[in-house]
Amino acid sequence: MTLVLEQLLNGLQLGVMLFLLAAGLTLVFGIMGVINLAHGSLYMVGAYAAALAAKITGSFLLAIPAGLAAGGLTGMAVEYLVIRHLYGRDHLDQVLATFGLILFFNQTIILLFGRQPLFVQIPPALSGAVDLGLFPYPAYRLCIIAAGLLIAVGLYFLIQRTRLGMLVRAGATHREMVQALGVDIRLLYTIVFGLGALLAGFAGLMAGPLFSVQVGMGEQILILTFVVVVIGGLGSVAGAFWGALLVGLVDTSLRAFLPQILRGMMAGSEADALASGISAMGVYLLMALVLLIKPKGLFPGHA
Amino acid sequence: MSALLVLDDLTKNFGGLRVTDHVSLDLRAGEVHALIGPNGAGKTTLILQVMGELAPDSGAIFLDGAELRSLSQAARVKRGLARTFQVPQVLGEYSARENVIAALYARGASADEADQYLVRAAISARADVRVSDLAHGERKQLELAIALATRPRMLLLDEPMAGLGPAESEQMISILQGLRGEMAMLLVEHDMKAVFALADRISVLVYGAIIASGTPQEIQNDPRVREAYLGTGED
Amino acid sequence: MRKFLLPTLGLALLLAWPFIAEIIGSPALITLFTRMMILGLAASALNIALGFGGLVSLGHAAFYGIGAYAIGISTTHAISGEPFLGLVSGSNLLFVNVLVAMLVSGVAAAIIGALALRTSGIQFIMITLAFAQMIFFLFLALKAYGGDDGLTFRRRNALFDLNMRDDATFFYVTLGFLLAWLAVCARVLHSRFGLLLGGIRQNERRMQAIGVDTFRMKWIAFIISGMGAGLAGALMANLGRFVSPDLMHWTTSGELLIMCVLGGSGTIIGPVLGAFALIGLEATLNTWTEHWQAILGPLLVLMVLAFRGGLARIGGRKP
Repeated sequence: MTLVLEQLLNGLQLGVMLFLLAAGLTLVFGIMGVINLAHGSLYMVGAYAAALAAKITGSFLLAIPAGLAAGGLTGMAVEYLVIRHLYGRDHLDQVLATFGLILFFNQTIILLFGRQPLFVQIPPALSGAVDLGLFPYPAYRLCIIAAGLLIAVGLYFLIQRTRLGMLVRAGATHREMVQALGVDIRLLYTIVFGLGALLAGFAGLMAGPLFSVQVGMGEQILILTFVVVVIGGLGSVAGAFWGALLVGLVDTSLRAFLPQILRGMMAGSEADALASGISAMGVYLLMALVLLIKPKGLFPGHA
Repeated sequence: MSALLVLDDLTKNFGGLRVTDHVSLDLRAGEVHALIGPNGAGKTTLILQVMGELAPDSGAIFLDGAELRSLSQAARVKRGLARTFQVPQVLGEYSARENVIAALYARGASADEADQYLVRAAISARADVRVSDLAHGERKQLELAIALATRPRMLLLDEPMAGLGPAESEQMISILQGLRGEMAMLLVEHDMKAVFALADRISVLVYGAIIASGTPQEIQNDPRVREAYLGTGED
Repeated sequence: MRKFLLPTLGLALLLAWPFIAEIIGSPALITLFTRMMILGLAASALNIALGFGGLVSLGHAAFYGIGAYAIGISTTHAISGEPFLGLVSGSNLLFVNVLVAMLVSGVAAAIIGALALRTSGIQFIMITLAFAQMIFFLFLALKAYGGDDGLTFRRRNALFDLNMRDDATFFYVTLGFLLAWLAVCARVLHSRFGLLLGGIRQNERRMQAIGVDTFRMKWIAFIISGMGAGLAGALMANLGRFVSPDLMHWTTSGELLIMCVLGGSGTIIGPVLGAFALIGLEATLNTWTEHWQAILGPLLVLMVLAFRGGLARIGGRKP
């Protein structure tokens, strides 16, 4: 029982990380109509910047602003130099240009840091475990869950209650109207893109101590983020949230429990092979199921 | 005369807005039935429901007595429904002839038939011109040629006169006059000159509901119509 | 006649290529060109969906990889003598294996296509990428067929009495398949189906209004496209006598898209030109620096921002 709860928390932790990426991706699509394959690169840049800052200063607290700044600034530079010219263009053009960005970012990181993964220490203050009554749970992971949920709530208020959020919601459905109101739509786009990049950078810097920081980490999580966005519904932040939690929970549970379940039915080695195959495919099969039932996703956005 | 297309108590809501409000209509074979009404009255929405692009919330549509609900748009076209678009939906990279050929291939016919439809829509002189180079009026005529190539029994015309100059309108009216009797037509139109030149019967749609149906004479003299729609007199 | 001049010259160059490579003393160039032709075939297959159907698939590496694995698995079973799943025996005959590869890729494309075509636009791109990644992970987890190490087999599949071990012979076999495939493409695209498919790309709503079942048309195009990618994978497996999940890494899907656009997605020959250009560029950049992707990436961005329509259209051809 405690094992189940622990795995559910792990799933929640993966879920909030995915949400941080999916929120930015889905906003950029919903408001600007752009598919950005290089969103994962911003996550990678955030992770590397934080790892580097932690290594130089020895302080994880300083790594946080480093990761955020690197993600956000890189994002805004990318928007200014490339993405801005892709609004209103074919999706194919957007795919090709942002694919080019991925090649550039990955190779530049290899040039700067080499191919060896970097390892980041969990900050000492969070390296212990918290006793949750039934079982102890790593403090760092708990911290990620809390931070992710806080950001989700913050985003909700930003979008529902502020002027910026009003423009974001209006911009997603009535681009011309927002322009007619005299809003500098370019500035709005840059801010939204920067916000998405900031969230990606934040996810990256938090991922550092959990996974190894390496080239290609961006694309791996990007594709999973796509699954989240398709399941949740393109353009919808609420959809991104619920989709992310669903994908996080399903992926974690399958990996944790399927081998045992199957071992009860067949030989150990066969069960493990089958379980690893099914859990690798699990979230994609979930996506297939959602497509069959609700092709527009569980929470379709306005766009 | 028996009814070819029957709309029976159709209702459709968009959010809180009722765009089709208990609409019932009988369209007879070979007849030209005009549907008029102010902008936003729900005329195009009605065409979408007949073609199957939009499902009504309630009510039914019958073609020759058969319910259409479960049929795809492709199946409806095969049974003899066709439509034109207010804003021409044509294949810009193809020639005018190829646009018509697409419609012929769609029903398994030979490309040789294309010219006869181009002639009927008076666009044969421009048959080999790339469609992105055609003028708006020519595109409207091509729209018609494409629809004719599906060999419809019931043709839904969504504002065929929209955006045409006076001479072009005259030509379009005479083209449609030439088709009279070969097929039934539902003519959605703002141009009252065209409506009164072509229609056997007229229905008036306001806020999604039909407020009057009758001969052109009756509609012209109907006080409700005058108030709701023709209000300012001549259009 | 000018229309035929360039293709004729190109074909003559390809026919003479193994001799030229021997004369200039770089037989490795034979294999390089074989790779170019195979990826050209894959790109041209993708282009049936992309250029003619308007379907931006970012998942064709999956069909390419499945075709390759069909060869790997069938050949390994033929060598070991153990039937596949205890039911079918493997084969070492190229024609049999190529047919199997195309069939299996076609089935995969039919399933993925049926799901992905329920959406369009950006979702379609994301979904094709995601399903391709699923297949990638599936083969990664498939320990029975090597997992991430992949499968190696000693000999290329047999074709008549040809000496398939010889790289020049395999070059001509590949050229033969490429020409046959392009002929099929030309046939398909100049048919009724091709005209209707092109219509769907331009304006799907118009095509529905004239009674075309556009979903079915796009689905068929996607399946043909997947089968072509499977054929290319089958040839690639034979070229290297090796298959691994790396073949279906998602970047391959991206590169195939680049080839189509680079060469011109509105033409039949364009994607093949694009494949030659991209792989040639990669090979050239690679001689300067191992970090050539840091150059290729920005080049690609510039290409998208500056030109539209690809190499074949820069030549003045209408899209």
